[in-house]
Amino acid sequence: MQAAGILFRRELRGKKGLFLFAAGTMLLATTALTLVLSLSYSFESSLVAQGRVILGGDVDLRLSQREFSAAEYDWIKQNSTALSHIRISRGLAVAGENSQLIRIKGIDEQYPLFGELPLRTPSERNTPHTAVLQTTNGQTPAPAYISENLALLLELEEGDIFTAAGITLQVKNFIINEPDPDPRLWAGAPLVLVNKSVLEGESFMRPGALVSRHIRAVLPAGETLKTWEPKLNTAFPDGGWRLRTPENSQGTVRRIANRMRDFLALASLAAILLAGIGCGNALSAFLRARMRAIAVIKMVGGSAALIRRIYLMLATLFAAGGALIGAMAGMGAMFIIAPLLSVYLPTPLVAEWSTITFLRALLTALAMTAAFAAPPILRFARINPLTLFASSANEDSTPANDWQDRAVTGAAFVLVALALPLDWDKKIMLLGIVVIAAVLYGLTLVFAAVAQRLGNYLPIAWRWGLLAIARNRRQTAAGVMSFGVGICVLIAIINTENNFSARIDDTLRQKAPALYFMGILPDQHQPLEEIVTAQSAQASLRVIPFIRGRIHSIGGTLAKDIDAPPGEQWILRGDRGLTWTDGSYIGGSRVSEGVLWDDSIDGLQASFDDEAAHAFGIEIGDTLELNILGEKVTAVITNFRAIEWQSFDINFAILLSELPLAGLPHTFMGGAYLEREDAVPAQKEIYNALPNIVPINTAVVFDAIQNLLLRASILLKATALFLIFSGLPMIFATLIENRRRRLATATTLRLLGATRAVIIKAGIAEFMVMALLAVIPAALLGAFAGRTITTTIFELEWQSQWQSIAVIAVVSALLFLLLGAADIARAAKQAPFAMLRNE
Amino acid sequence: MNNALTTDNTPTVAAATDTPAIHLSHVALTFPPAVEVIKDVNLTIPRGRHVALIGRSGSGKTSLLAIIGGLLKPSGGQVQTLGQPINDLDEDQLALLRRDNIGVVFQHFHLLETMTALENTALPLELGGHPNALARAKEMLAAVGLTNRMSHFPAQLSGGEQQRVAIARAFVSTPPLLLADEPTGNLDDDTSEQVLHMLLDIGKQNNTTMLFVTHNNTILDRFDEVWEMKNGTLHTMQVK
Repeated sequence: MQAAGILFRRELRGKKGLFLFAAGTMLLATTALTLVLSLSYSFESSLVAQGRVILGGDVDLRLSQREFSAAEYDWIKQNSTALSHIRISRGLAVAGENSQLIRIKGIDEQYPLFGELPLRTPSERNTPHTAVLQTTNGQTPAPAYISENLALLLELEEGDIFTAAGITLQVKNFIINEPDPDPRLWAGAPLVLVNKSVLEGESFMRPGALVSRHIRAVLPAGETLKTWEPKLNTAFPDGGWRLRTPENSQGTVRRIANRMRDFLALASLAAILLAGIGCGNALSAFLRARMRAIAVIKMVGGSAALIRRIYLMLATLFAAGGALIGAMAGMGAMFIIAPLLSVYLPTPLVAEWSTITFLRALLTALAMTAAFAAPPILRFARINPLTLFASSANEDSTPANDWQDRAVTGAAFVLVALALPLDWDKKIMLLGIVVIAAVLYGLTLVFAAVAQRLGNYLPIAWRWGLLAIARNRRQTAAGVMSFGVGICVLIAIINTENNFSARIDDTLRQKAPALYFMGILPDQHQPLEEIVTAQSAQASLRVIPFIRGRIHSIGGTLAKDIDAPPGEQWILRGDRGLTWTDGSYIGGSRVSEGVLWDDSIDGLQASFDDEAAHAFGIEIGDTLELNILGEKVTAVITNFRAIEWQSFDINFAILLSELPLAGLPHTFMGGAYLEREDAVPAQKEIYNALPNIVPINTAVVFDAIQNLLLRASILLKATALFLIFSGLPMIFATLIENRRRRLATATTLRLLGATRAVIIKAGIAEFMVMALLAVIPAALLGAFAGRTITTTIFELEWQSQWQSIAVIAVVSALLFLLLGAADIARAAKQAPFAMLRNE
Repeated sequence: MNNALTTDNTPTVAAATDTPAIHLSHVALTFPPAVEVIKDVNLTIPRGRHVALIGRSGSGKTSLLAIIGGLLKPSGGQVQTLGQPINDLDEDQLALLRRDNIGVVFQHFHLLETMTALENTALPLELGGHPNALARAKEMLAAVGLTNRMSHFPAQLSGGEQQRVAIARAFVSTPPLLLADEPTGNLDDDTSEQVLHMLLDIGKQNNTTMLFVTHNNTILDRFDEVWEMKNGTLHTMQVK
C-alpha cells in the first residue's frame, strides 16, 4: 500500500485536465441530485413538523352532505381538549367588472387551533378574529378578511364592498398566510374568511349545498388516533365523515411533491450516469496515455494489484472530490432555494440538513463512478511490459475486456440500481435513458468503424475529418453520447408538451361546455335555461341530477377492506358525486360490458367505471351498497363503462338507473354550450339572477391548466438543458483529449503543403459529423420517446412536431460546432516549426 | 532462488548460485495460426557471463529475451531463470522475480515522465518496500555520473542522460541478471560507447549475468559469448 501511495502521488504530477472535467461533470450532477433529495427531505419534514397547523388540529372530521348533530358535537367536545367548528364553501366573488372563483371559509372563535393567521394590518392581531368578523343580526355587508391575491385580482382595498357566493361582504383586512391551506388546490384558490354564521344562511344549509362542515379537535394528552378513532366509531358507527390526520392530510401535496422529486431525481441520476460514463472515459483515456508508464512499473516488479490500487485511488480522488463538493454545494443551494421556493408552495418549506440524504447522493455518485471506472482499471492493469521492447513499440497493445471486467461492471451496476432512491418504474425510465445513451454510443462506434472507408469517396478535408473520428472513436462516442442524451430528453419534452397543448386547443376547448354549473336547485333549472338559451340561437343547456353518497360495500366487501390500486382509491374514499339516468345520457362514456339497463332486473341498478371495476375485482351482478344522506341503498351492478375522463364532458364513476330514494333532496349540475364570447356575460347574468349557482368558465380552467403546463414545461426544459449543460464538460474533455492529436495532424499536413483552408475544412467536417452523430439519432429517439409518452402515458393522439425538432437539431449542431471552433482555429494557426521543436 | 516465490512484498532471494543464470530447454514460440517465432531453442548461460544476441529484425531475438524475462509464455519447452522454473509462475510472481532479480534496459529508455531521475531510479526498491531506497538510488545515480541531475524530470535530460538513468534503475537492486534490448539503438556513436562501457563495467563489478539484444556488430568483441537468431533458431557465433 505504501508503494501504491508513493506512485499515486507521483501520478498526480501529470496532466489532469481530463480528470478535472470528469470531476466537474460529477460535481454538477451530484449538486443537482443532492439539491433535489434534500429539498424533498426538507419538504417532507416541514409537512410533519407543521402537520397539526396545516390540518388545523390533531384530527379533522368533514361532512359534505349534512350538519354535525348536537350529539356528535357534544361527544367530540367531551373527548377533546379544544375544538373548532368551521364551514367551507366555494363560489364566485364579484367586484365591479371583475370576478374570481374563491374558497369561502366560515370560522368560529377557536380558529385557528394551531398556528397564526397573520394579517396585513397588525393592529388587529390582538383582537379575536370572530369579533372583527362579527355580523349584527345577519346584516350585510358582512365583514371579511380576503387573501392578498384576491385583493389584487378584484382590485379591492380595505372597506370595499364585494359579493362572494351570493353574500355581500366588506373587506376588513388582508390575509398574508393561511395557516391551514387546502392541500388539494396546488395553485391555491383565493380565500375569503368570514364568521361561521355568515355561511349558515338558507342557501348553505339545504341538502346538496356546496358546503363542507369541519370539526377540528385537539386530542387529550395521552390519547392517540389509534385509541380515539375506535371510540368515535363505536359511538357513531354511521357517521359517514371523512377523518383526516396530520399524517394523511397532505396526500395531494405529497403526491405532487413526490412526483416532482422523482422526475428531478431521475434527471439528476441521468446526469450522474453521464458523469460516471465521463469518469470512466476520462480514466480510460488517461490510462491509454499512461500505458507505457504502467508497463514500466510492471516491468520493474509492480503487480497488477498495485496498478489497480494506484489508479483506483486516482479515480476515487477526482470522482469523490467532485461528488463531495457537489453534495456540499447541493446542500448549500438547498438552504438558499428553500425559502425562495416556500413562497410558491401551499405549505411551508423549512430547509433542514439531512446527513442520510447527503451520504445517499454522495454514495450514488461514487457507486456510479466505480461502475464505470472498474473496467478500464481492470483492463489496463493487465498490460504486458512486453510493449516496452523496441520491436513492439508501435503496436496497439491495449488489453481487451475479459469476462472478469464485465462481471465486476455488472455487479457494480446491480449495486447502483439497488441503491437508487427511486421506485422501480422510475428505474425503468432511467434504464430507458441508459438505453438511449448506449444507442448513441454504439451508433457512433459503428459509424467510426465505417468512417475510414467512407472517407475514400469524399474530398480530402472530409476524409481527414472522418479519419479523426475513426481514430478517436471512443472519446468521440463519449462526447456524442453526453451531448445527445440532453437533446433527446429536450425533444421528448417539447414534443409531449406541444401535443398536450394542441389537444387542449384543438379538441377540449371545442368540445367542452363553455360554462359548468354546480349547485342548481330543482326550481332553478328553468330560469337557468332561459338565460343560457337567450345568449344565442345555438346556445343550449344540459343538466344532470346530482347527489352525494359514499360506497359502503361492493359484493359484500366493505369499501375500506377493498384492495384498490393508488390510482383508483379516490372512488372508495369519502363522498362521491352520483347521478341517475334512464340511459339517454351517459356523458363521455360508452358501455364496455353488460347492459344499460337490464329490464329483467327489478330494483335499482348501477353502472361502474370499467377500469376501477377491474381494479377492484368487481363482476357484473355484484351488489353495490351506497350510503346516501345516512340511508343505505343497494343496487345491482349491471354494466361497466369505458369513461373518457379527458373529454371534459360531465362524467361519473357510478351511474344509477333511477332516483335511489323517493323524495331524496338533490341538486343538479350542468353545462352550457355557448359561443366563447358569450361565456363571461352569461356567467355574470347567472350570478346576478341565481347567486347560489357556481358557474365555472372552462376557458379559465383551460388557461389555468395550460399555465400550469407551461410552468411544468419550463421546469422540465430547464432539467433537459441541465442535462445538456452537465454533458458539456465531457465534450470539453473530448476536445482536450483530441487536441494534441489534432494539432499534430495539422502540423504534419501543413508541412506536407496543406493550406489553412483545408485544415479548417477538415476540422469543420470532423465537428459537423460529430454534431450530426449526436443530433440526428437524438432527435429521432426524442421524437419516439415523445410519441410513446403522449400515446401510452397520456393516451393522446400524437402529432409530429418535426418543425420544432428540426430547429432544436440545427441549433444544437451549431452549438457543437461553436464549441469546436476554438480548436479548429488553433489547429489552423499552428506553426509547424514550433510544434516540431516542442516534440 | 529455488524456494517458492511469494506474492507479497518480501524480497525473493536466489538461494543457489551454482545453477546457470539462464537455462532454456527445447523452447518454442508459435503465434496463431501457425507463425513459428522460436523453434526448439536450447541455451544455457552460466552466471556472470556477458552474452550478445544478434540477428535480423523479426528473427525472434526480442521474443527470446521476453521469454527469459517472464513476459512471454513459451508455446513449448522449459525455461529456468536464475534456477527458477518460470513456466508455471503467474503474472504477479513473475513481477516479483523481475523486481528482485532482473534488471532491464530498453532502447527507448522508458522512464516515467512524472518522476524525477532519482525517483525513477528508486522505483524497483520502493516497490519492494526497501527502507533506504532513495539513498541507494542516489549512490547508483552517482555511479552513472548524474549526481547533479537527480531532481530533473526525463524531459529535462538528454537521450544519453536518460539512458544512464535507465541503467541506474536496472542496477539499483543489484540484480543477478540484466536484460538489455538494443540499449544503444537510440543514441549517437559517442554516447553509445559511453553507455555500453558503463553497462559492462557495472555488470562486471556486480558479477551480473548480462544478455544484450543488439544490432551493433562493432561491440561484439566485448562479450563472452555471441549468439545469432536466424528464423527462430539459435546459432553460436563466438565463445570466449
